[in-house]
Amino acid sequence: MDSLTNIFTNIANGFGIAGTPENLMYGMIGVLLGTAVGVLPGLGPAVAISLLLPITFGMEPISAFIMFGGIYYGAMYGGAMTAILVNTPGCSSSVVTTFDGHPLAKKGRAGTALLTAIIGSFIGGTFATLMLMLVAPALVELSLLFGPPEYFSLMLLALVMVATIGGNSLVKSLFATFLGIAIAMIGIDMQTGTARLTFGLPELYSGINIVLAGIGLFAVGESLWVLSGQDDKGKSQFDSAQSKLGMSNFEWVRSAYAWLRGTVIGFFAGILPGSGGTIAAFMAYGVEKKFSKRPEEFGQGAVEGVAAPEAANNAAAGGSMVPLLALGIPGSATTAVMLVAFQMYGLQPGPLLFQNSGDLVWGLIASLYIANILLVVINVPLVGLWSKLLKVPSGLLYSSVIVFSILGAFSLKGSISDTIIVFVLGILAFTLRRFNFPIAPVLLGVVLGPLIEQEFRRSLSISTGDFTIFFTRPIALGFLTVIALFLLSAVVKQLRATKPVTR
Amino acid sequence: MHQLRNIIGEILIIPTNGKSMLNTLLLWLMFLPMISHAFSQKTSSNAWQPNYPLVITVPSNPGGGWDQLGRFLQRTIIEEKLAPVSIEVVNKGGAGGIIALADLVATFDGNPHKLMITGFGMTGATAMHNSEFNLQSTTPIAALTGEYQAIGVPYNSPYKTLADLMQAFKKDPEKIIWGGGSAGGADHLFVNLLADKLGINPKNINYVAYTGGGEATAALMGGQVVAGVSGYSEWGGVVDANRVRLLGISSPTRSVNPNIMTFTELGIDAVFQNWRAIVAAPNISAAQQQYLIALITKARNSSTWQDILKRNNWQDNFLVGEEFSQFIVSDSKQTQEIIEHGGLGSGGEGYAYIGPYFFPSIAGIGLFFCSLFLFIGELKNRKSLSNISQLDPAIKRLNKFYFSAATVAVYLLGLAYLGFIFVTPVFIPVISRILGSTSTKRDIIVGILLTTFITIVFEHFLNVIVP
Repeated sequence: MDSLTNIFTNIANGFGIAGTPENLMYGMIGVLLGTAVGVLPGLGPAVAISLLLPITFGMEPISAFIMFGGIYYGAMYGGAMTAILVNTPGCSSSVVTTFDGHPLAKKGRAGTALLTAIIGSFIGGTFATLMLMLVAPALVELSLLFGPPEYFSLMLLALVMVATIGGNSLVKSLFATFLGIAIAMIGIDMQTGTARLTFGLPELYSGINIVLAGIGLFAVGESLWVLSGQDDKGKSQFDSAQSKLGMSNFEWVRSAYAWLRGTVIGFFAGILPGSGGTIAAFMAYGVEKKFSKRPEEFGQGAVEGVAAPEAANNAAAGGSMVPLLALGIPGSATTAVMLVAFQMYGLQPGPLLFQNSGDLVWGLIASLYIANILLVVINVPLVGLWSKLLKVPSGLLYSSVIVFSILGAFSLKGSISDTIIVFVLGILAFTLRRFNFPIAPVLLGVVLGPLIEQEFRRSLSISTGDFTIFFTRPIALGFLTVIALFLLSAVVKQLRATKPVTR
Repeated sequence: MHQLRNIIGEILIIPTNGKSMLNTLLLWLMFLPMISHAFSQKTSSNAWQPNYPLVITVPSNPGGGWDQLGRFLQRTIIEEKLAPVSIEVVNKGGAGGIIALADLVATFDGNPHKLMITGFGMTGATAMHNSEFNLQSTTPIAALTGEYQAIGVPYNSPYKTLADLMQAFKKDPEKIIWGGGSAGGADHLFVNLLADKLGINPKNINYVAYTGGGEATAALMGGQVVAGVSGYSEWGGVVDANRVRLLGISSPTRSVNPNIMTFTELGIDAVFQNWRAIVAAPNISAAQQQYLIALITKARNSSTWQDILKRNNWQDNFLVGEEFSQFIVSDSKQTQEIIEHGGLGSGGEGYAYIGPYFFPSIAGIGLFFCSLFLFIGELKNRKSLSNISQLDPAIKRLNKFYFSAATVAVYLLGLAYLGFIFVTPVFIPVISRILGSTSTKRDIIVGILLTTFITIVFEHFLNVIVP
C-alpha cells in the first residue's frame, strides 16, 4: 500500500514536470511529425525517431522525451492510416491492420476503421504505460524465464493460430506460408554468418525484411492489381454510398472486447525482448478470429480485425519499455533507438534507473500518458479529412502509392536494388492473387519464419542437440500442448465440414 | 584565380537567347578542363571547405554501437559549432556494413562530403564474405574509440573466477554455451580467438547468436546461456545491480576496471579491442582529407567529446594519418587469421547443431508437396469441367497487367539512370491514364507538384537523397 502511494506521488510529480504548456506543444509537434513520417511506407517509428533526433538537440530532457513519445505513437498511427486507406502498411506492425482495415475502407467505412484504430491505440498505449508504472520489475523477471524453447513454441503457436487467415483453401495458405519462410531465409544467417540463397548477389546479403516484404506484397501488389483492372466493378474503387464516419453501438461493443484482448496480448508480447509489435498484432488478430462468433467476416472488413491488432501493437510498444527501463535491454528496433536517445540525455536505463534518476523516469512515464492523449486529441478530428483522401481519382491515388512505395524502399538503405526487390515482390503478389492464393500468409511466413528458425536452432545449441528440451520445460510444453489442441480442433472441424459432402 | 572563377560563373549563367543554348554548352565543355584545374589549384593553395552538408553514414540500422558513435559525433560537431555546414547522419544497414562500404567506394568515389563510421566488425564482415571492397579502399580519417570485450556470467553462476570458466571451457568446450551478438561480429570472433589461444577445436564452440547485445544479456540473466560476451561498456547497469558478474576483460592491463581480471594475467594472449573509426570516400584530395582530419580532431579534443567518452565508458583510441592506416592493415591481418583458424566465412558452415540449410530445406519440401497437391487437384478439375472460354476476360486483363508492370519497370530504370525528378512527372500521368483518367493536363500538373513536394520533403526534412 505504501509503495502504491509512493507511485502516485511520483507520477504526480512527473505530470508536474511534463505537463507544462511548452512541453504539451512539443508533444503535439511530435505526434504530427511522427504521423507524417509514419505515413510513408517503410519509415516506421524507429526511423522516425532517429530522423527527428537532431531536432531535439538543445531541448530539456523531459521536452525531448515527450516529443519522442509523440513521434513513437504518431508514427505507429500513421502506419495504420495508410494500411487502412490504401492497403499500404506504413510500418511493419501495421501490416495486420490491412487485412480488415482496407476492406472496410472499400466498403466506404474508412472513418470507422480509423476511429477504432485510434481508440484501440489509445487504450493499448495507456494500459501498457499503467502496467509499466505499477508492475514493471515483477514482469521483467517473468520475461527472463523465456528462453529459446519457450520463444520457439510461442512463435509456432502464433504461426498455427494465424496460418489459415484469408484463405479458403488450406493447401494454398500453407503454400503461401512456406513461400514466405523461403523468402525470409534469403541473406546472411545469424547463427553461422553463412550467406544463404543469395545466388552470389551481395545486394541480397542483408535479406528481405518485413518492411520490404510489406511494401512489395501489399502496396505494390495492390497497385498492380488495381492497375490491371482486376477490381473494376464500376469506376470507383470505394463505395461512397454508405460512407459513415462514426461507429454504430454494435460496433462499439464489438471493438471494446477486441481492444481489451488485443491490449493484454500486445502488452505481454511486448515485454518479451525480440518479440514486438508485429507479432503482437498477428497474435491478437488470430485470437480475435478464433473466438469470434463471426469468423467469416474476417478479411472482409470486420471491425475487430482492426481494433485488436491496433490495440496490440501500441500495447506492445508500451510493453517493450519494460525491459528497456528496468534492465536497459532494448527488445526491438524502436527501443534500440530510444536507448541511444535516452543516453544522449543522460538517462542510463538499467536496474538502478529508478533510484539514480527518479525525476527523469517519472517525467518520462508521464510523457507517455500525455503523448497517448495527444494522439487522440489531434487525430480524431482529422479522421473525416483523411477518409476524404479516397475521393482522389484512383489514377492519381495509385500512381502516388507506387511512387511513395518505391521511395520508401529506397530510403531504407538508399539502394536501387531494394526498389527492384519490392517490384519483383509486387509481381509475385499479383501472380499469387491471380491464382487465388492468399497474400497474408506469405507475410506471416516472412515475419515468423526466421524467428522460429533462430529459436529452434538456439534451443538445440543450448541443449547440445537434445530434442527433449522442448518437452521438459513447463512453459514450452504448455504452448506445445495448446498447439496440439489447436491442430486437433482444426482437423475435427475439417472432418465435420466434409462429412455432408461425402454423404 | 578569383577572377577566373567569376568569368566562368558568368559564362555558365549567360542568358540563353535562341541558338546560344548550344554555344553555352560548347563553351562550357571548352572550359571544363580549366574549371577542374582551377578547382584543384584552389584546394591546394587555400584550405578546402565543405560547401554541402557533410553526411555521416552509419553502416548499421538505428541503435547499437556504430549508430551511437555517429550520432554522438554529430552532436559534438553541432554543439561545438565546428563545421560551416550542417552534419547529417544516415543509416545504411546490412551484411555487417558491407552494403554501406560498397556504396561509399563505388557510388561516392571522390566525394569529400561523405563520411562513414566503421570499425572492427567491418573488417570481420569483409573477410568473411570475400567482399569486393575492404577498408583499405577508403580514405582513412581517424580511429575514435575502442572497447574491450568483457565476459560475464549470471551472478549466481557456479563459475566464480575467470580461471574456473577457462578451465571448464578447455575441458568440455560444448558445455560452455556462449551468448553474444550475431555470427561474424566482434563478440563471436572474440570467442573464436579465445578458443584458438586455448587450443580448442573451433567446431566445438557452442555459440548462440542474438540480434543484439541486449537480447543476449537477457538470455544470460535468465540462465539460458552459461557465459555472455559483450563490449565492456554495454554491460552497464546489470553489473552494478548484481545481476551479472564480470569475470574477464580483453584489455592488456587492469586499466579499465581494477576489479576485473585480464586474460593476460591467466597467460592467455587474447588482447582484443573492438575499435570504431571514421573514414571518407576514396580518391578525395589531400586538402579535403586534411580538412576532415582537422574537423574530427577538433571534435575529439572538445570537452563535449571527452564527456561522452567518460559517460559511455569508451576508450580514447584516437589515431590519425599513417598510424591509423597501419592499424587498419595490422587489424585486418589479425581478423583474417581468426576467421581462417575458426573455419568461418562463406566456405564453412560453422558448427551450429542445426546447419543453416535445414530450414530452407523444410520450406523447399513444403513448397514441393503443396504444389504437388495443388497440381493433382488442378488435373482433377480440368477433367471435370473443360470450359476454358470462361478464362478469356481474365486473359484480356492480363495484357493490362503486363503493360502496367512494364511501366513500373521502365520507371525503375529511369530512376536509376535519369533520376527521380525527371521520370516521376511522366510516370504519374501514364499510370493515371491506365486507370482511365481523362484529363491528362491535370495529371501532369499534379505529377510535377508531387515530385517537387516529395523532393523537398525527402531531401530537406528526412535526409534521404532521392535518386
